[in-house]
Amino acid sequence: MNKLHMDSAPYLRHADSTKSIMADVIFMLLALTAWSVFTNGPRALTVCLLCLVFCFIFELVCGLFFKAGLTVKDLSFAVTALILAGCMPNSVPLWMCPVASFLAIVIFKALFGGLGKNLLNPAAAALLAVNLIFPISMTLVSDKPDPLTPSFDLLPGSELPMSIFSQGSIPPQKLEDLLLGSQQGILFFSPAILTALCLLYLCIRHTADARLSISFLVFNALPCFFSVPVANSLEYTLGYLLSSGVMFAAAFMVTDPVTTPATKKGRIVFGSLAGLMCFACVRLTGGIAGMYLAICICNLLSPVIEALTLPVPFGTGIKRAKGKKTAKRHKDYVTDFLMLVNRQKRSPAANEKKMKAVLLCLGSDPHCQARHSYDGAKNCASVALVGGGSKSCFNACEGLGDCVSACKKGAIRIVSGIAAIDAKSCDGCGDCVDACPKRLISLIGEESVYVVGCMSPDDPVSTRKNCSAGCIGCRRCEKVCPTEAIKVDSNIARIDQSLCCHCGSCVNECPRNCIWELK
Amino acid sequence: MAGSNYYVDMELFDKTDKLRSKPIAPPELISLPMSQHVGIAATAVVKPSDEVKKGQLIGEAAQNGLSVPVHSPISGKVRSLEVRINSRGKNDIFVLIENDFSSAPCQTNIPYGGDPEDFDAIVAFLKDKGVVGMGGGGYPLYAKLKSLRSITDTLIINATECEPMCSSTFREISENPRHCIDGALMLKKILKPQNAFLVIEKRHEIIGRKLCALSAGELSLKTVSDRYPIGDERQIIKEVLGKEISADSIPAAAGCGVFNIATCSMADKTMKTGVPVIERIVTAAGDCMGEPQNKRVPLGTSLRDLIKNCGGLKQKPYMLVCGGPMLGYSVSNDSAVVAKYTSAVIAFKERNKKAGGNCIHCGRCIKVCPMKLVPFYFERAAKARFKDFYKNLNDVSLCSECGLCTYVCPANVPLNYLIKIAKKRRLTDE
Repeated sequence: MNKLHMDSAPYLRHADSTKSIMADVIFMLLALTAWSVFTNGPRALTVCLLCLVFCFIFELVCGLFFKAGLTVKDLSFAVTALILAGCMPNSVPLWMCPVASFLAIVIFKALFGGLGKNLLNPAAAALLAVNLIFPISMTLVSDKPDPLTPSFDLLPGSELPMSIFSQGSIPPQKLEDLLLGSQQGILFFSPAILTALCLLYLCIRHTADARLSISFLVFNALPCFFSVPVANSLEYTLGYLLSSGVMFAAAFMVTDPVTTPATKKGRIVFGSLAGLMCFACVRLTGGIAGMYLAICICNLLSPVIEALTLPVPFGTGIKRAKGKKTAKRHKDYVTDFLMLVNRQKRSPAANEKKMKAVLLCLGSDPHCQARHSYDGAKNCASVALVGGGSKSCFNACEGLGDCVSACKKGAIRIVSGIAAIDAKSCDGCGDCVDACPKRLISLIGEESVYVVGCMSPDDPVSTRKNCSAGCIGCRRCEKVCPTEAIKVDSNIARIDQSLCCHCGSCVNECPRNCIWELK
Repeated sequence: MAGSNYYVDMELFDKTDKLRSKPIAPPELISLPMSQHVGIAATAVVKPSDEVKKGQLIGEAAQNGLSVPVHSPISGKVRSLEVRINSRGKNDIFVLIENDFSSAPCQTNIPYGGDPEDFDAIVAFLKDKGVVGMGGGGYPLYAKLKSLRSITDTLIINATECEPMCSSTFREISENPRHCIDGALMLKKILKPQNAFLVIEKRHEIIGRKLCALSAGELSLKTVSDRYPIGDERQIIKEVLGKEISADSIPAAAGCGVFNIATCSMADKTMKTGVPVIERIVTAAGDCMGEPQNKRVPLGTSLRDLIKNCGGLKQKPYMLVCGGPMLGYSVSNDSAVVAKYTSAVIAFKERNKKAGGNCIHCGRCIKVCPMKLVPFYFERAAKARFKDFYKNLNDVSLCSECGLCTYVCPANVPLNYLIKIAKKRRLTDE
């Protein structure tokens, strides 16, 4: 039994994946869709389907365009699509679906680098944009929306609950109507009790963090409760929470993990801040856009909140004070950034000897065979961690291209399983030398002609067994060299380039053909 | 700890803890690696075609530095000395011994006859017999005892299982309770701690009580939660004493000595019988293993022989792992051998099928991290290609590499690799 697969520990994985997390949320959103179709009629279904189709198309195209692969597989487009659809009024013109989908998927997600790298919640940001650009279309609701005809011929419908609240008056609906959601309006906002059940499910499944939702709701309710005279405050607060979409945002927008802090404390802070800002913005702007604005602003603040609420590493709490630790780590980021900038500015000194990089390994595919099939992350640094590399020689080039991505000049390619460095394009910066985990690349003076292409200090027997091009330290080159430039040390020949007379006699003498001429 | 459902289930899905451990049929050939412990490899003192007896010295401990000797687990003839790759991916000298099936004992197998309270004599004896930590670390016991001499306030005997799927510690304490307790009491006698605890998981509380009864009140029982990585000594110290010891300092600095109970048992066996460490208990498990169970295996037995004794494999495995599923090392073929640190051998049927992707910032890695780090920062640092980031990322040295962050990650980010690379870079840069 040879060549089993190899990987680094751990070998077990938890069942939850990005896809399953997204599927959980989609499952809950589909429940809301079904209810919405039941209360708002077929137009709700049209809107949802249109958003899904357009988000799918945009995600697919962006994934291919930005060479991110089939990003549709992670299902995050469907979550965005259904949140978008759910926040549209029942009489929304149908062209709003592609517009909002474009903004969410292309502008607010793909341009930032796709799922996980977006700064703003794509749905909230897109909804904020369309609410600001098309305020009328996004807020008019109708009693009897037609499934297909455009909404221009509709009578100006009843006002949205959100704008009622901004005036501080009590909503016309009864409490049970708000809870059970028999009224029409924005597609997914009305059945507060169903939204609450969805939130409960997501929290139980650990898909959403209850810290975010609860703190968001509490800090929405508290200022709301104290903003009106005491006699009305309970009714007013309940009306606000149940009808205005705050519940929907609490379940599906503030629980987006990508744009919220990852730390436990940070999540409570984020939820509270978002809640306070949400109420303030709704009261001041007098519209649903206030809620999206509050969420987007807090999304932007979330990295800061996270950096301030990092946990104290195990066992270091006694030595260092909490604040000091955070500050130190924070400083690290700044210094790192400065170092990066400074390094790029640094130019080579004029009197420096011009160097070029060479790979000291000839173990290409026919010469050096694989010992096992490697199954971990596809880069050289990782493969070197598992069993000393996947090739039969410990000092063989793995050919997974860490040097290729480190080279700014594009001088390195992978040819038949090992790196090939183009000496003409190489400027001798040495980035590839640092990138190679096995330190197989070395810088030599530009005038050098001959190098020994092997770094294996193994004994001759194992070198012979592992690689048909490895140096076995036979000393024939050492004997033949007229200027004594070659020395064999720990089973490998090394050429002292300052003594080399470029006669080439060693190349002819080498029985393994591992001394080669640089072109 | 919150987020409990992210933890690895310590329940053994193979139920290997229910089966009594059995010795395997004596293998025809064993390949004994010279490096079976943390530290410098032993030097082979035998030549090909030498006759060796059971328990005879094969590898001599290095003179300077951390090292223990290696002994022959069988009697027979040395076939050859070979350089091979061991299960940790390093070149190592292997002594191949052909079995003559007579198991003639060596004359040097003399029980310890000195003063039971003489620290130096016992430590020297344990070093000669090659006793190392049997939990999976392989740290020489003599060195640990020396570092703890006369500074030990608390002695903790760790009877928890190190990793999920393993049950070798549990079998050891249920089958050899006398050796386990005598070994623990011996440690207590020479280290003279103020308190001595026996720590065991809640699910094994009954046997823990029996062990404490056997010690006649010398050890007090502490039960801890069943979750991985509770077998880690820092987690145990936190549960028992409430002290957090960071990964860059050692428990000895806080006056704590944590010893695996299997190590105690092994120390006691060598002292009573004089036979050095030549076999260990190994859990053979995994969804590909024919009959998952615990086996008493001579060191140097190849995985092929061990698997043959466990009902063979159901099909060609995708991966063979020496050690537990969270910390073990995968091997390239089944000629790898059982060494002193091999607590389990696991055969996996298929690869994990989780799709990879971007970090979605879900924070689960923060929730599960026992060292309270922020593992996804390492991913971010690596993605940003900050060459100097590795140098300044001081937290990565605090990571205990338990593997939980990689286990829970829904995006299957290779955090295990990133952390190891970052640690390696830090070491080489400094």
